[in-house]
Amino acid sequence: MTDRDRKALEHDAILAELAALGEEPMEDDELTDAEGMAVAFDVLHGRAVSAVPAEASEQAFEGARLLLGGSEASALDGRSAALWGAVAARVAAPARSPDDELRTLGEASLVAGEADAAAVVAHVTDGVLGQQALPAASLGASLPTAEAIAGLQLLQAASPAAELTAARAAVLYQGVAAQVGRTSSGAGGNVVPLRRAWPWQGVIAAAAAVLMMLGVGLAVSQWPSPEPLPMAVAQIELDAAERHLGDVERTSLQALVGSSEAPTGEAGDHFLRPLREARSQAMMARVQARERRL
Amino acid sequence: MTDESHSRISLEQERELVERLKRGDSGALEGLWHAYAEVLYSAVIFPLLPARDRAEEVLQNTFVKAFERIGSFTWQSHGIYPWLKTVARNLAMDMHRKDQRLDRFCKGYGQHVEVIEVEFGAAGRPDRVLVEHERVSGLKARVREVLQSEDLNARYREAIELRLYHEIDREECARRMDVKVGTFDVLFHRALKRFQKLYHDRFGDDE
Repeated sequence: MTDRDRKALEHDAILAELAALGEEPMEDDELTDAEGMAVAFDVLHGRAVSAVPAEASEQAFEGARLLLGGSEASALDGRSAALWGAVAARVAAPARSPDDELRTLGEASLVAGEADAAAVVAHVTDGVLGQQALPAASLGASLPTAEAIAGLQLLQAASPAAELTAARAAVLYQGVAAQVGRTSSGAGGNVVPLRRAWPWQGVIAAAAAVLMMLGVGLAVSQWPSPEPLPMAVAQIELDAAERHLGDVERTSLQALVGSSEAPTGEAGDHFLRPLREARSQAMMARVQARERRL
Repeated sequence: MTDESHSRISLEQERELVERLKRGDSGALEGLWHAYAEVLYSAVIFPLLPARDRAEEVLQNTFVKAFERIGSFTWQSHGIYPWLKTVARNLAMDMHRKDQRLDRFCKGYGQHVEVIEVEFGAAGRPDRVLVEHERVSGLKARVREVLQSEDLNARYREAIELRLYHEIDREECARRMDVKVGTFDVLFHRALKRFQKLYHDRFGDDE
């Protein structure tokens, strides 16, 4: 079933629901508003949000606010209630609060500032794992995080990421060899460290190569969600992901070697973005492959 | 890379590789890479810079820098490893200070790392490769012992393993543990604190 088919079915179901209630058919922008309302509900309950519909009206969010307030819910007419029902599947029953969870574990309740400290540690961990970081505004220098971060450092030092496999070492050495080989054969002998300066020649060819790798990376990263696999199959997948990451890095390196001119500012960002994205996606695919092997 | 690979290179062989490097033979770098890349990564760089992509980048730049600066290295009886280690540590700390992406979280981790670096420096860290390996192996064994301890709540253990060892993002961790993201953050924070306390209670200030 295509996305278009799925949307058509959802649309028909909503129309049927409205008809059963004796309501008028749905207006063009009503579903967008309903989705916006669901997103608002997600936000207010701290759930992940993939995207806020750009067309959603302010009224949709105001409607969500009223619903969450509770007291005004009775003022909703049947039409709004039907629309709310259409998006209710996206809004499961609220999960337990932190205090509920801690109580279940027999732990002390949250203390003042602890939730903020936890957000800071989450931010630090995002950075450590190379994942999408929380907004920097959530950082607070005076929050009590030292103990947790010391624990994080100990745990990370003993994590699988702290080990360099032979296969990975071989891939990394190719980058070093390319770099020092260029240095030793160059007329001036100046080393261009791997990320200190970025060459500009051959950008078009390099960008094409990277975009091709990006396409492969997307295909790899869109594997089904992790499920247990036979060990041998999972290892093959992991090896493939490792090789793909190595290919991406080699392609990027080739794109960057060969010029002394370094793009900076917006031009540099524009040039580097596809390289970073390709590498990020390849690394994510490796993470997924590793998870499937576990 | 195995421990065996580290014992394959003798001081004489190492000295010969260094001499070749000094003569501009970049191929000699591979021997040093095989001997020291893994231990530099796991014992020196990653503990300071526990972001895999950046740690790998520092490792590569350590050897590029070594090749670039080999002329300033004077052979010592304990070989080139202490010098490589200094180069790696300096590059890792430079990365903390200069990298804009890391700067977003170095307020937390970086400050902590700078403190322990000073403490390690004052204590005089071992420079011999096998000692470094033993140190890392010992740390891993102690961490495993605490992680598997019954004193650590099973939910805390799950939060740590999902987030750090399976490298799963917060949203997915929260979904798997059937809690909200904010609740997961609190659980993970508590888990780290409890782990740190248990580790400290059992092993004192051992790294």
